[in-house]
Amino acid sequence: MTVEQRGLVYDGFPSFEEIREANGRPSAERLAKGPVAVCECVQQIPCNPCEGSCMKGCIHVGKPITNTPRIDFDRCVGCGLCAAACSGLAIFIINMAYSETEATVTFPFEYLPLPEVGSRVQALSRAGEYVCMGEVVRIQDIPKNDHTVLVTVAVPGEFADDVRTMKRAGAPLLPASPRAAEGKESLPDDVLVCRCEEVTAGEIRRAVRRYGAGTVTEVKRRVRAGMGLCQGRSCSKLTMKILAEETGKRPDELEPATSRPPVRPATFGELAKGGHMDE
Amino acid sequence: MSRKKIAVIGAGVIGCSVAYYNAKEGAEVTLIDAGDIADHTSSRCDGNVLVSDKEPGYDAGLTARSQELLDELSRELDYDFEWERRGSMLVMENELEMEMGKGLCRRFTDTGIRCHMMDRKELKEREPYVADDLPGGMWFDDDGCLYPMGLCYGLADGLKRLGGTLSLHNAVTGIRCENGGFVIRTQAGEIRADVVVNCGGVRAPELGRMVGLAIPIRARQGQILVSEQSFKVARQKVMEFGYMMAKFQNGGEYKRPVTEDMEKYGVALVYEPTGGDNFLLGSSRYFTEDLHAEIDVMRAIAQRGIRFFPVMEHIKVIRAYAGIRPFTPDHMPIVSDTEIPGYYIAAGHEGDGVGMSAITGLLMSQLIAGKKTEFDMAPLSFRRFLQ
Amino acid sequence: MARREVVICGGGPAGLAASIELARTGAKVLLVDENRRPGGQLFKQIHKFFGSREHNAGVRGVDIGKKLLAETEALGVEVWLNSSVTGVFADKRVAVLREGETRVVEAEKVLICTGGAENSLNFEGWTLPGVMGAGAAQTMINVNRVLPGRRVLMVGSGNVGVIVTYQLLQAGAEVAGIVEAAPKIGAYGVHAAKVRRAGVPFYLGHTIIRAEGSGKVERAVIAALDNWKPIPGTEKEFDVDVVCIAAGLRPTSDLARMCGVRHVFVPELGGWMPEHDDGMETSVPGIYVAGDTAGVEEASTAMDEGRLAGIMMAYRLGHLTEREMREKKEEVSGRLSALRLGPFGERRMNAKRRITEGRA
Repeated sequence: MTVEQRGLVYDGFPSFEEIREANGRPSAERLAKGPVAVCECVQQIPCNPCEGSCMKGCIHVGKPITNTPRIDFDRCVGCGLCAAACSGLAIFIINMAYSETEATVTFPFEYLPLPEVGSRVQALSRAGEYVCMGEVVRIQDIPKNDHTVLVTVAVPGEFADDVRTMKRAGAPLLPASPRAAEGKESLPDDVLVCRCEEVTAGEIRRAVRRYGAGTVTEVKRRVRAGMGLCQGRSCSKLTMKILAEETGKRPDELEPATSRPPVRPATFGELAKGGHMDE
Repeated sequence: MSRKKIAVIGAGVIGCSVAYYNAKEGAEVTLIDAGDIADHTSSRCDGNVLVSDKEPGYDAGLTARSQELLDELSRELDYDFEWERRGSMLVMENELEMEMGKGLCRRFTDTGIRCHMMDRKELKEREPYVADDLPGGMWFDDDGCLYPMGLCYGLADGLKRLGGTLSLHNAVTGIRCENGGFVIRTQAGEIRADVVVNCGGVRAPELGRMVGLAIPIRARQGQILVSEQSFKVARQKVMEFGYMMAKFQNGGEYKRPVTEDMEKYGVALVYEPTGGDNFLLGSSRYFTEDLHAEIDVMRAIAQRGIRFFPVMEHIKVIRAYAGIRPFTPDHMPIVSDTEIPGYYIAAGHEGDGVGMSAITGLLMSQLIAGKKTEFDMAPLSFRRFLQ
Repeated sequence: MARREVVICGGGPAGLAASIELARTGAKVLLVDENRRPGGQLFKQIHKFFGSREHNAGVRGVDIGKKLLAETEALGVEVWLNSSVTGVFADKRVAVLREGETRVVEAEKVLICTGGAENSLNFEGWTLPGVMGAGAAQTMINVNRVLPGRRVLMVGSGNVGVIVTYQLLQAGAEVAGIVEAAPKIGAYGVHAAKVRRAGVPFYLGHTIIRAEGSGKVERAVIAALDNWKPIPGTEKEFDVDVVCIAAGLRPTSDLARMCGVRHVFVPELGGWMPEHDDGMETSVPGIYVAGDTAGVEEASTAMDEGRLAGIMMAYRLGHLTEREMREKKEEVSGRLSALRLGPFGERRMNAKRRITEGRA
């Protein structure tokens, strides 16, 4: 991966640059004064509950609602209402003035069981990696927040910018990394495509190459792919993919097979009974 | 002498067979279709090759010969079209039908067809799932079924191996007579031929009009329900005796005890097991060009199926389809030359296209080659409609 | 003959919203759904929705479902549950499989909002038990409260893949990773960030090449892609018992195709889908579509499309004046436009515009 490919869509978490650009960051002076909300919502998504959640009206989204939120850090008191209201769990409360050496990070947490106040937990980064140990100092689980619990963890002050969550109970000790394995390149002929009628990729290729099938319907008639119980609902896209590879057709040139009743299987008995009801 | 150039228009089961047999006869054959092989009626039908649904005599004779030809084709074509001769049966709903059946059975045996009447006991032994109240049926030893599209693909593949040409997805837009031959205008350009065979099925009249012929074929729709894969409800083709009446509209005074919808849509039991452990359940016959299955017809077919096989009640229907079939006023196909030298017609088989495909192909190859045909062609002649 | 002014096929967000709009105007509506309760996929959505504050943003999908249900009940909408529409036939006769029989209801207008279907993915071993759609896994954990397995590999980093990953973690499963063929994460970043900080790695530019195991999934193998082809020697193997496929959704429009509705291919909205105008009516007069059937988007857009279809049908049936229709239509269309703003919605907005202007 090249150097410039950093950021939310590559890493799964936003970079400091992205955050600064989209949401802004409190100044060192403001941080030193006490709790403040930091927002890490860097994409233009149509969402604005944070704006309305702030009692002091210091979060701005405005119109269009795809604007990224801006917090007026000087007026923010770090109450945490916005952190619980954010649908994307992307707002955190930082308190650098918690003690001489420690800061607190408050984050939304939607896993059970909840930790207990006073317990020692592993504080994790945006990448889910261990940063340091922390102590749970506060749990806010109020009905208004609809199961989004705010957990406040005290950590050494220098980690306040790195810690964004804690290890949940039951999580694996270490994320297991995969082993190297030997693979094969293309879809082998014996892989099933149509499960209902047990038609393989090889049979579909043969229908195309030897018997001239060029559409989903033509494949279906030759080798029964899509003729079974599900009527091609699972496999027609897969058949299209093989057809596209074999014939060079574009997806918009490959139509699904005819749709026929009943679109859900019904027994002969269920079909025989009923009819037009008189009322 | 150079090989005769034959253009067969229509790649349904009739066109495929006509093309194949003519190629076997040594002609240079091009098979043309606006769509794929078996794109229309031949992919919206069942696969019966039955004597039991024919009139004894000439019709039944044609089919019996077709069955022999299919035995040969299943050996010579490199495609398994699931041809199996498991026999077939007609089932009677009441004593009156039994009486009428006995007369029919005699007429069949008199013409050398292997069949016999079954009493209730024999019927139940052969097919334990039939309704208990049925008085009996009629058994035909030599009938069979096949996968119609498979037969088409096999014949088309055979045609290619004999050096024939397939011109698919290529609609014919006009035909002009020129220097004793034909120029066929198609989307992909002109095709020249000494002989044209119109195998257009329900579209045969359109191809006839291009040379000024009025072919009296109309579309009659038939619908079929397909079951999920299940146990064998019956081992071979089963039809109700009343099917013959729905088909030929010649029941005379006799009225089947059926609902208004069944009467209206010509619904009669036709059961066919497939090679894939599903079964097909028909049938209906009414005049429309609509290709959509219709709920009232689907219901009537299901009701009729359960009437004869109560066990079907709990088996699932996975789809219903409708095909339109080429109907002629006297129920006999047209397999014939015409007043235009070199222009032939093989169409109008309605529900017998699959069953009579092989013999139609053979007869047409004999006719075009100027050989003695195996059957008298008069009953199949186009001229019969010119009075 | 049973007659209703409108038959709505599918009681998900679009169908419920449409039924509410119609019932408010006094139209005689029948809502048919094959599940034991309506709501469609809403009851699986235990996360808080995005959107504007006036419009259910920040509310969990399941609670939106409850709200819509309460409203349909209060308005007395006729609802047939455990009932499947098996066909729409000529003259807008709708066949409904219900209580062991196939009933036929004649309608003046039919709304088809049967949602979307998950795409499958072909690879060696894809038929092994343990390979399932991400939506299926979501149903298991959130509706049936059954964990599909202990350790999951998620294939697909779109919103479905990432949201289901989060919910699998909440349900107590481990997720070994999220595999994505594209070079970027497809989902909304905030969703991606939630699972990333829970320790789930993304494997971008990778695809699954096989699942292995005797009788069930025991391992899955992925490989890096070069120009969409697996690069030999880059295979990685995971010990997992579930492989979830989140390869996107496509519109479920069998019923619309059955009655001859013209379809267009729109990749941004899931592929083949019914063409429709800006009032959700299709090429067959009187047949309407909404929600994922009318192009795969989100529950919030589905609700507004349902409302829009409801408003237009009510107007055509004479239950709304032209002025009322225009006011309501403008309001809902405005909301829909807002939901389709931004880089994520823009492609969908453009695609929808192409369709309704007949340029698809």
